[in-house]
Parts: sequence; structure tokens; C-alpha cells
Amino acid sequence: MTVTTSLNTHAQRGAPSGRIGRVLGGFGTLLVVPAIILVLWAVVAASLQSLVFPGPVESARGLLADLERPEFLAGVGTSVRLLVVAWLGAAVMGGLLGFVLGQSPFWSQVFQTPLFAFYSIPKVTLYPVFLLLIGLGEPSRIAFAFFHGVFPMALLVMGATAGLDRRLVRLADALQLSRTQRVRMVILPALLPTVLMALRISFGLTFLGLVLAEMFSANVGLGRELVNNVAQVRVDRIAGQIVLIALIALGPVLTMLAIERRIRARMGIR
Amino acid sequence: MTTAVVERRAGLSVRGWTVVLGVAVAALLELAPRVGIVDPFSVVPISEMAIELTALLQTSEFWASALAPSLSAVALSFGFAVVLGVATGIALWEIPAARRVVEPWLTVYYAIPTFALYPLVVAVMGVGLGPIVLLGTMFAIVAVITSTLAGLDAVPATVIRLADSLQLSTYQRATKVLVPAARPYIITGSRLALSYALIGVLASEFVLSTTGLGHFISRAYNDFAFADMYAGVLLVLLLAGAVNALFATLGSGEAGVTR
Amino acid sequence: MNASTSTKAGAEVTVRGAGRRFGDLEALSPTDLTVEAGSFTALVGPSGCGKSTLLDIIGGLQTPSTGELRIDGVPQRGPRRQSGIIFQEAAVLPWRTVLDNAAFALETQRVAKAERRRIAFDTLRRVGLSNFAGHYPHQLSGGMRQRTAIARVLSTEPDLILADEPFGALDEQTRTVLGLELLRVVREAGTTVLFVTHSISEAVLLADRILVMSARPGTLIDDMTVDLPAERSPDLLGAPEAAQLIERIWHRIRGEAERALAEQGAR
Repeated sequence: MTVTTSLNTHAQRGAPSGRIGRVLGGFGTLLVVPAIILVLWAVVAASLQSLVFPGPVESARGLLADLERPEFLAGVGTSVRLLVVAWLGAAVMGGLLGFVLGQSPFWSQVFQTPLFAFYSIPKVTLYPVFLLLIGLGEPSRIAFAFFHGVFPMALLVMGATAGLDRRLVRLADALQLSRTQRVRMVILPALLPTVLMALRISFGLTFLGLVLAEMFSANVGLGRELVNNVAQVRVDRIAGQIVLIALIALGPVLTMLAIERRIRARMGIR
Repeated sequence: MTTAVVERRAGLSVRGWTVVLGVAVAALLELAPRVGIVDPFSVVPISEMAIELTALLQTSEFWASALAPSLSAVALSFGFAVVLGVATGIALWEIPAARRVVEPWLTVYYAIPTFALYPLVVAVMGVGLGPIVLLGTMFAIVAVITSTLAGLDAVPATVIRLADSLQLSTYQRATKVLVPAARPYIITGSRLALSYALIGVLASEFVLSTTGLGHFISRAYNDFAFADMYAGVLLVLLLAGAVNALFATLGSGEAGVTR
Repeated sequence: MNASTSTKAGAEVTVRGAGRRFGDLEALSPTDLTVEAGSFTALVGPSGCGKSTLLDIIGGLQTPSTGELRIDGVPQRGPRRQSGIIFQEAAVLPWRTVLDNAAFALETQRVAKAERRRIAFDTLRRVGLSNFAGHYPHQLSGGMRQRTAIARVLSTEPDLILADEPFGALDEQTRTVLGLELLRVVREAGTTVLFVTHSISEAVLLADRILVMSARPGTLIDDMTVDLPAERSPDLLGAPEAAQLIERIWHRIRGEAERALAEQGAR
């Protein structure tokens, strides 16, 4: 692994065209799995009745038809807006909480158990409590999505902060860094790969929480659309909407993953 | 410079403080509705949840329509996820080309709300145990695949060379060498998988189903039967706690969330 | 003793009765020590004897429980800008290139970018790393990483260098080469060096004075001058004076280690 990463960096240094090729190559590898899924999907759909199980083409048509409906677009807009608000909240609050708790290995050990518990419980069954306490509107959905994303963020940042390389701390001591220098030049760069990973995981779980909340109680949004279509047995639209949800999730996630990989490769960690 | 002395703050060890934290949360849940910090109509004191739950657990109807379907769905999902996940993990590890193609998707898998597939599955298969187990398995399996791969990567090269030299069959190689060697990681992955299976099953039941604990809670909410609802929520939390405790005693509890 | 014509004099270190305890555990007995300006002094002793504690106290990374530390006659509390510390494991920042690592200490002292880069590059040339300025630490060998850390220390032109088993993590050949390089560079600058090592031959090869410490609680039990030519090379270790010195130190340390073992057994 170390050998391949250093080889990559050398190639990067040597030839800029090689770098583009590598990116395209990576992108190509990335497309293999969706291509296989698409082919399997088409084959299965063709061998079954297409009314019960739509193929990719019907689904694409369903999605295009949806995208012409203004109320659908408004629903997607609402979902994306709530997702961004909840995710930013989870990232900032979770990150700060993890960073503060991580200052003390002792307290981070104490909080490890409850944070992990909140991360791993089936939070969906708590959604009615949110509705009872906050009401049926958007704030409940934001809070519930936030509730999904904040714990993994806090847990990962806390672990990384508490486990910071002792050598770096001693180096900072020896160089008499000021508090801000210490955070800006040593601690944050050392935590960066973990923070990026935590942002990515937190994003996915926040989105999951939002879709669940929308399926259960919302009047607009992607989750609502899915459930409506189940009632109307519009299977082609459901499939199209799932593709749309996957695309919305993949954009930011793949971008974050690419940045994270770059930074990790530069630092020589997997 | 490791000292055998357990570190303490204000006389309490890490475990002690964890217990204090738990007791404090329970006390808050008990007192908040009684003192009036929250509306007692919206949140029931935890002691009343427990009393209601005890009553529920004594009715056979609750067992038959809520607990039994959920537990069997979780057990099936978990079983499928571990068996298929380990097998998939080994296959990917043995075929590097396949791994190269699949691995990025394993990394981003939990970032896509796969749960969105559930309405599609229901629309195609109808409500029932099948779609719920399928969703539960899908939620859990990737954790097992990922940890199996990590475990196999950590196996010393000499062990693999030994396996090569013995000329074992594919099946023997997997069961006699690879799985035992990667066991600690597989256990960690299974711990997550059980949590995920529980999440997947309860979420499916909660959103669209006619049976199960998740359905029980959502129906109780819609019927304004909040005492029942909170009893169900408490049971879910107890189940999740039991799952964590089970594996905490089994494994040494290393590696929480990764990837 | 030092024939070098130093442009910048090294610092003189005076330790008076400095000791360190952690609760019931006495890591370092009250110790007196004077390190002459511009000298290259090695500190050897059985493992766990408090060598690193003494070095940390002089570097300001630990506060002594008793006694005091003066550098050039000035009482010290905490770390000091003009002291450079080389750790056993190369302390480099993995997200910075070799050049930016070498410039790191200057950057924290707010030296302008162009200036610190010029100095850092110059320092890299002195430690033989100028061809690797753009590399990241993980692309280098352990020895080159340690060179990077040394370059960072040298870049601030310290008057005192404290090195805690600086070559301990390296293979035999690399450590000899690196040790002689460090010796050459600090002699040119006239810097005072105090370094901890567990290798007796390394101490004899590099130092002009060797201090031996007892088993815990550590205290200085021997102080010897190394009468070898100023121009050091690995061949010198074959000379009779060197062999005698190595044997003498070896016996002192072995005696201490045996005493410590016997005490542990008696408990």
C-alpha cells in the first residue's frame, strides 16, 4: 500500500497527463458496479412482468415525468434544504462536542459508551417522541435527521482527538507553540482525515434519518413521494425516485471521499 | 510507564462515571415529566413506561403480533448477513480485481439511504416477513463484508503461505484458515451487524408493515396510545442495550465505528 | 577542548540539585551537573534510570520537583526558544513536505515565508536532504525522516541541542553515519549538545564527555573525558583508548543493571 501510494505521487509529480488518466481510470472503476446493477436490473425486469417490476427505461421515464411536476420539484427542494441544515448542525455540534470531550482521554472513555449507544440504537422508534415534543412541522424532521448524524460525528472526532499522536504533542511543547498555533498547525491537520471521514458518515446517516422521517409523517419531500407511490402502486416512479435519492447522496459523498483519499495518500496513511 | 492503577476522577473510575451518567439520564426521564419540565402528556415518566411494559409482556397478543415477528426477522437478517457477508468478504479478498471494483462502493454504502429501497420491495413483494428480512440483511451485510476484508488483510503473510503450501480445497482454505484467522474482526463486524439488523427491521416495520414491534409503536402513536408507545420504545432501547452488552462480553469491545 | 572556531557560542547548562518524583516514585535523585558551552556530552545508563527525565528537565518539558536549572546563568522555567530538541522517533508532521517540516519551527516564530524557506533549504543541504525537499515524510526512510527533524532543529540556530536517543530507531549503519553528520554540523556552529543514548560505542564515537547514570532513582555516578582525536571516524573505535573506555562504561552500567534486578527480586 505504501509502495503504491508513493508510486502514485511520483506519477503525479512526473506527468500531469498521467494524473488525468488516473482520475478517469478511478472513475471507470467506480462505474463498474452501477453498470452491473443496471444490467441485472434490466434482465430481471425483462424476465418478469414490467408492470410489477419496472426496468431501467421505465424508471427513467417515471423519473422524468416526476421532474416535470412542480410539486415534486418543490418536495425535492424541501428535502435537500432540510438535509443541508440538519447535516451542518450535526457536523458543527458533533465536531465541537467530540473535540472538547477528546481533550481528556478519561472523559472520552466515559462518554464513549453513551455516544456509541445513541449511535447504534434503532432511533426510528423514537421519532414519535420528536413529533410529540416538537410538533409535526419541519423542525421535527430537522431535529430527527440531526439526531442521526450528530453521534457518529462526535464519536469519531472524540476518538481521534483523544488518540492524537503523543509525539506531535511533545513537538508542540518543545516548540512552545501558542494555543492557537497548536490547534491550527498541529491538531487540526492531524485530525483532518478523521474529520472528513466523520463528515461523510454523518451525511449518510443524516440523510437516512430525514428519509425515514419524511416517510412517516411529512406532507412534502422525497420520503413522502415514495410512500404515496406505494399506495398508488406507481412502481416505475418509486424506482426513479430511488435513483434520484442515490444520485443526491452520491454527489457530496464521492466528493468528500476523493478529498479524503488525497489527503490520506499525501500523509501516507490508508 | 504503564501503571496498573485505575485512573479516577473525583473517586470514580471510567466505569463508575458511565454508570453515574446512565442513572442521571434515567432520573431526568423520570423527573422531567413529573416536575413539569416537559408536557406529561408527551413524555411519560420512565417508571410508568416500565410498569406498562411489564403488563404488555404478560399478554400473549403482544408476543405474537409484536415481539415474535421482530425477533425472528432480526435473527434471520443477522444470520443471512453474517453467513453471506463472510462468504462475500472472502470471495472479494481472493479476487483482487473484483475487490478493486467493489470496495469504493462498500465505503460509501452507508452514505446512501438504502432504506429508500424498502417501498419498492413492498410494492413488488407486498408487506410481510420477506421484505423486512431483505432490508434487515441489506443493512447489516456490508458491515460484515468490510470487517471480514479488514480481518483478512491483517492475517500474517506466513499464515497465508502455509495455507497455500497445504494445497487445501477452496472450502477448507476458507473454513480452516481464513475465517479462524480473521475471527476477531468478524466478531467486531457481527456486533455492528446485529445493531444494523435491528435498525433495519424496526425501521421497516415502523414505516410500512402490519406486524412487529416497530409497527406496534407507530400504530400506538397514531392511535394516541402513548403509554403503549413508550412501553414499546423502552423495550426497543432495552433490546439494543442487550445486543451491545452481549457482544461487549464476547469481544473485548475494540473498534467502534470505522469507515 | 573544542578546536572549532565557533561564530555563535553554545550555551552553558547548570543543574543544581534537580530531582523529579511522581508520587512515591523517585525518577531522578537530586542531581548536579554542568555542561560546558560548545561541548558534546553523552548521557548513558541502564534503561529506566531517568536519563530522559533529566533531559526533559533541561529542555523544559518537565518541571523538576526540586532544584533549579540555569542556562548561561539564567534560571529557566519551561521550554526555551534557543534550545532544540531531537526526539527518538522522528517528530515530523506527515502532512507537510520535507521543506515545510524543516521550516516549521521558523514558521511558528513568524519568520517571513521567503526567508524561512531559504533558511530551511540551506539547512536541508547541510543534512544532505536538498534533493528531497518536495517529498512527504512517508516517502522517506526512517533515517531521512530523522534528518528532516534534525534540519528543523538546526534551522533556528539553537545554542543548545538536546537529543533523546536520536538514532535509537535506526539500523546500526545509518545511526553511525547520521551521528557523525550531526557532530560535524554542530561543531561548525559551536552548539552545545547533550544526548542520551543506550549505545556505549555511539557515546564514545561522538562525545567528548560521557556521563554515566545509576539505576533508578537515577543519579550521576561517573564522568569521563573521551581522549580521542577531534576528527572522529568509525575506525577510532578500534583504538585501545576507545576499547578501554567502552569496557569501563560497560562494567559500570552492568553493575547498576544487576543491582536494580537484585532489588526488584528482593521486593
